Amino acid sequence: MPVPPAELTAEYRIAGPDEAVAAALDVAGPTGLAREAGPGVTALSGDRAAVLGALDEVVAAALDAGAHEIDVRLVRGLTP
Amino acid sequence: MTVEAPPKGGIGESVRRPDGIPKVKGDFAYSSDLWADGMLWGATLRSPHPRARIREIDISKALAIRGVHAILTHENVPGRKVYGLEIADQPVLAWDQVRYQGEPIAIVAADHPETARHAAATIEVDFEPLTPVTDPETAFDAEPLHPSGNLLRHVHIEHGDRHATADVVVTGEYEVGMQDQAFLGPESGLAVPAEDGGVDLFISTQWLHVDRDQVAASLDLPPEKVRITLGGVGGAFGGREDLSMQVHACLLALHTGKPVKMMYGREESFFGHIHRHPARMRYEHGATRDGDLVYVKCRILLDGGAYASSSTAVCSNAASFACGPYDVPNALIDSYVVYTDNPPCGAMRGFGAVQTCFAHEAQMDKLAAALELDPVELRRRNALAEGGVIPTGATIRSPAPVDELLASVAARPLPGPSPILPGGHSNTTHGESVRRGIGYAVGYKNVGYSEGFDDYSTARVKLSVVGGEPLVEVHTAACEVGQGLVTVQEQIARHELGVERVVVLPADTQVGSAGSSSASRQTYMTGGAVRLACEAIKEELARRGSGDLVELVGDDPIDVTREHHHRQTFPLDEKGQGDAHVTFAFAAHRAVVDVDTELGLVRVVEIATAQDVGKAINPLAVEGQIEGGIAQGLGLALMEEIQVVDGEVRNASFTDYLIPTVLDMPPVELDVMELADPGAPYGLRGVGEPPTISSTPAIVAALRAATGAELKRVPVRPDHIVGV
Repeated sequence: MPVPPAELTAEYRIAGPDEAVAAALDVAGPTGLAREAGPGVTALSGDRAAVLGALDEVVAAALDAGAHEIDVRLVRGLTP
Repeated sequence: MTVEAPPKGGIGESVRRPDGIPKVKGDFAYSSDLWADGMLWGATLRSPHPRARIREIDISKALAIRGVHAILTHENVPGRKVYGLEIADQPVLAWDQVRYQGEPIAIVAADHPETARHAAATIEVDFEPLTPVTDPETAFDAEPLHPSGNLLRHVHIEHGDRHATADVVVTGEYEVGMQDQAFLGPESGLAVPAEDGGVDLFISTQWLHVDRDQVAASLDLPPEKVRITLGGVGGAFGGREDLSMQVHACLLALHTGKPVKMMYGREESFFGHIHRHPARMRYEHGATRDGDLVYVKCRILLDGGAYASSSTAVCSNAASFACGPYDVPNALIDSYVVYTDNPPCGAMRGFGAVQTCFAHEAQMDKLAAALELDPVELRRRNALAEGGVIPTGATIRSPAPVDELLASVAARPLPGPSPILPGGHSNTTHGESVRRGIGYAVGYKNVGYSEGFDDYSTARVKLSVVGGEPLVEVHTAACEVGQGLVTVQEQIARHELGVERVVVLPADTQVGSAGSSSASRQTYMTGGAVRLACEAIKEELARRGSGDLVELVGDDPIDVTREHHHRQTFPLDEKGQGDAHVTFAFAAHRAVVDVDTELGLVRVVEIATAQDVGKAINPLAVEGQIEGGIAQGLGLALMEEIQVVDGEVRNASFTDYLIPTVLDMPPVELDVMELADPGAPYGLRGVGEPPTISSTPAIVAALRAATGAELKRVPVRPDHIVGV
């Protein structure tokens, strides 16, 4: 049975040391919103506030761990 | 316009289905029979490992094989690289790791199927095998297979007093194995590239529009450039709800510019679709000394396998129906589904209610024994009825004839000695160790989609005059998967419009979504949409005046499209409370078995069943659905299980995965009740799933009665019966 589309999905790709990717995953995983969406791409799906809040923390963690570029794509209405 | 004398073939008649005789004679065109001039053949390279890292994929040798036109990997997926019905977590083609044996890694198009398969086998993949997570119990704390961990969903239901105590308490642990849908037509389809840059896909599936949306996202095409038409479907039972080769065939067709046909063999089919969730369940029932249920506590653990599929909804359904159709004042239910590296599991006929029905019915028998009560009497004493409240806090708003169903099956005359003994013509016994057993079970389940999903179906109905006679054309995207839906649509149109000549057009995405052929919902939803469209036509005819239908229509056809939505439902809250389900369907079963207690061989002598269908639109089709569902329930009781060892499937064939044949099926004594659901079109309920839900526990109860064995697991093996 399908579910209603997520209010918001944020897909991100981090360029930088492995530590930056790991730091981002350490933050994204426990939110319960994260899944792999492609090679090097992680998606956060759910309520808009939850996704944006999680994304803020993920980006901060990645930058603090040395990320030098983070591509973020926000999409409305995707399957979570 | 008034329909004064409904024509032959309307609702309530046992109209014969158009595909019946062609299927019996082998003339029916399944999707595996599709053909296009100049088409190529697709093949899939799958992971041999249940869990591994992919270091490198080398296609160079395979690509050099004569006749190979394309080899594609994840790098060639132009759009979304993942898909899924509830959570898009499943790769179209794996990139850096595989999470289950059989996961697709690369696809090939070649001018001959053997060339395609040879090329797929020639692709070199450098794997680093990893230790798979295969035990759902330890998956909670195992290394995460997905970024947010291995717990996919937990549904907690708290109803009444969580600290309730009782005079008599029984506990039990139960297990259900991994059942396959075992549809007879393996996955197959044909993708044809179109001049507009899009693609036309002909496929056997259960929900055209959800397929289309997922395919379009992965192809990076607008949905209108992906046109899907239903091919001939050889059964589904939930196994075609998820994508199999839909994206793969389209990718290859668009890449090569040629039609591409893909067709799984039987072995590949076992890896190409999801299965029924294996379950481990722990139950505690408490009752008064008089036999009134006081509480039910249970923990349900479902193995979701590598990807989400429909797992979150199955988990919720298992929780919703964990107590069975009984008046349970206090319930504490925890249902979990976890990721593992086992084959992905998802929708299958019964959808979570099958697993828990096996457990709660075993518990009711155990409780009856503890109370020294008759098992049927205990069930009837606690039977849910209209106006009752289920553990999710929802009130049953339509007839819930649990007591009547049980009374019906219990009142049936018992069969005499069976002319066929366990072991059949193998002549393994002369009856010296054969014992007879009788068992009862009752179950229920939701009809349609739940938890707030805005479920609907669309029907376009056109009334015209052709050759001086009225003609009705019905166009929907509803998938005929063998349940008789084409006939039902014809019958409703005939009944509503009084026109005998009705044509149901091929199902495709050129009309609005019909939702899935699942959840026992299509007659309810698409039947409802056809009815609404017909009513709109009648309104237009009335506006045109009165008189002869042919004159009213003339050369100005009436063409209307309508959507049927069911009433709104709501998500469950943190305590599992909410009006989450549209309506319910109920059935009861009595099984009579003969058991060879020395060899553990079983002969099911007879199944008596009673089911409330609300309204039998086509009584013959209802009978077929009920008998088919019982066959699938018998399969789960006695023979059907995918054997998975360390994440690897050991019996991917119909030689080793056993399904009941006509020789295993007993006579079915059938009582069809028609207690109208006031909220449903014509009062009907879904028919397809209830027969599968309570037939399994009835058979196992009969085995227990014959042998005294505890039998906590299905399918029951001969060694379980003889205790070796």
